[in-house]
Amino acid sequence: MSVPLLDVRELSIRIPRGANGYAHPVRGLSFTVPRGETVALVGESGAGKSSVCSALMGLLPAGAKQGGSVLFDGKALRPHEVRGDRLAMVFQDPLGSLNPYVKVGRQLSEVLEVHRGVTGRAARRAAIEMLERMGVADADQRFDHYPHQMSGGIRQRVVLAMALLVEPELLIADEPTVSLDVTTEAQILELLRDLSHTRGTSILYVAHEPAVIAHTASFLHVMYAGRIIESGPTERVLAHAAHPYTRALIAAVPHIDGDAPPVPIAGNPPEATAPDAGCAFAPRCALARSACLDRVPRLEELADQHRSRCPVVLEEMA
Amino acid sequence: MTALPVLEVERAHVRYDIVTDRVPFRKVNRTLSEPLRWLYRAVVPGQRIQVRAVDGVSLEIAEGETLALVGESGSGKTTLGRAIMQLERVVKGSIKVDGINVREVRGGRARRRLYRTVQMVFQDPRESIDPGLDVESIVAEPLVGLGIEHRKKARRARTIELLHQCGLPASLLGERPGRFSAGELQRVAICRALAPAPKLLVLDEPLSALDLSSQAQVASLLRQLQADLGLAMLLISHDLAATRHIAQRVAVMYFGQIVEVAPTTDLAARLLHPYARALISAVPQLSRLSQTDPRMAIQPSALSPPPGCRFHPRCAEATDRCRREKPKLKQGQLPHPVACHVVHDGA
Repeated sequence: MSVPLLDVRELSIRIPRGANGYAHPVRGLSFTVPRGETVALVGESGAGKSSVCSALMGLLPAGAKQGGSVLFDGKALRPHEVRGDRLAMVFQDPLGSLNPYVKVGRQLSEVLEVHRGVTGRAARRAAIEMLERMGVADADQRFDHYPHQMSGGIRQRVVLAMALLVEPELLIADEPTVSLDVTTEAQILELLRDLSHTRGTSILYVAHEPAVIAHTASFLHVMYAGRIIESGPTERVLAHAAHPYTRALIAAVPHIDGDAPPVPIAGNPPEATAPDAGCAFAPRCALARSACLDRVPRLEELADQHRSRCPVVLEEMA
Repeated sequence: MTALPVLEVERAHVRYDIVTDRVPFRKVNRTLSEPLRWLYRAVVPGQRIQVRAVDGVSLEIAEGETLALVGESGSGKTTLGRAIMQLERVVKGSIKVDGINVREVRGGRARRRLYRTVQMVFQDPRESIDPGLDVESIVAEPLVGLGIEHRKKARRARTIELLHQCGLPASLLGERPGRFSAGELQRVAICRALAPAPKLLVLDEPLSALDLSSQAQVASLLRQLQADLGLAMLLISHDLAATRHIAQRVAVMYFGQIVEVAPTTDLAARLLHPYARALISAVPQLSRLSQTDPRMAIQPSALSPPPGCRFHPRCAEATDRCRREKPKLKQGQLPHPVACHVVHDGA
């Protein structure tokens, strides 16, 4: 088996909070992104997804402590050396990633100038071609527009084009469709699927709910309170979820057909400052036993590549 | 015997003027593809253009009923919601809330009467709630502002009752919302909106800033309030899947106009308008791949709506008639009203 493009091992992150406290948003996270695959990281706000992205991009706040190791293409990841080049990220809000005072064409060709030394007409041509690949109609006109002259969907395509211009090996997509209309969302998802098929780009897709990635990611990691609580091939995890939290998350997805309303998950996730006290989901879990509170359960394999951190379900399934 | 509807909108129009961007229009016009040309047709640099954000909308909501108003951003759904709250001016037609004609409401007293009848909940509770106030002051604010309850004790009792109604503990009274989750905050915002005991609640994307689990929580709260209080609700949303479990009927809005009104049961099978169907197939679902026609990528500008059916540049089924003639919202042989020539001809 070849070396995965991204290999995160026992990543933990501590961020100073208050006078002498720490937030501990990521608590020993291991996952890989194989070449040419789309891997999803799913969890609600506070699960630690954004901290993982920040760590990969080298954007953690000052004073943050990072433990564990991150290998990129077999070597220790140095974000400032590869980001914007071999590693690119698309954020939730496209307006936040674009300079409102600069025409998008200039912003696009700048990427090529800085990372590839391509300038002038050649840069313009490459940028327009990439915009067209992203499904932007009349790309040569759009080149001379400012971000405010575009709809949210077009802006997100511009940001994607910007990230992909240098043909990164890994694209981190942090809920790039959350602020978009469903029609635009469907198009962006199609674009990402196409990207990994035709160009072999690896994608780490971060989402707060499973429906959006159900047919885009081949592998799924469900995060809760800074840990992966279940992972496996997307189809298998969604059909045979083996952790109560994954099951609850799936039951909370609203369906457009079928009369069953979405079921809320009672209670709130723990704060990032809370110390470890057994399974983090136990206080909200219907299956919890007293033993669940004793120690953090291990991530155990129940079938090929399918792992769960719930001993109760594993026992039940055995 | 049918009761008077709580909300009655009749051919309402909301327009506003904007000054256009300085786009080099002649150059652009020559090279643009057909659909985009509509976008630029009227866009002359620095010109004042009237946008018909709500263009002749009629709808009704009965007591205890929830109507979902869905459509993409820019369809005018939020503008209509704001017009009901008198936050936008209606230039033509009428909006009546429990018999009060919103266009005629002038002066403090009349406005207080209106806001005792209708209240609004906004998209992001982190922006609609003052983080410096405690929960009691937030929820009781309408009771003071609308002159409903001046006695402090009675106000506190009412506030506790309201919190209880929204599934929040009375222990929250003295807390500041700084550390609340978005879902809890949204419940506080709904609580505040309920304080004057309104008959109608206008909810503008109340779920879209929330996590999946909070979404389900707020949705079930809304269902319960509707049943317990006989509240009428206008639920403005772009998410058909989420609204389907709260509303009884859905109105699909496109470019300032309603193109279809249907019951929400069996939504996927019932909606007929090509635009409504495109919205449905684009919703990401666990069970199937979301799909979209490449034509849907083009979102025409509200500055220059296309002639004929406004959806025709994005529609796979458009005929010559669609390009010329505006379809009317009518029922005909169909199970519910649809504004589409093709659907009516096929029936």
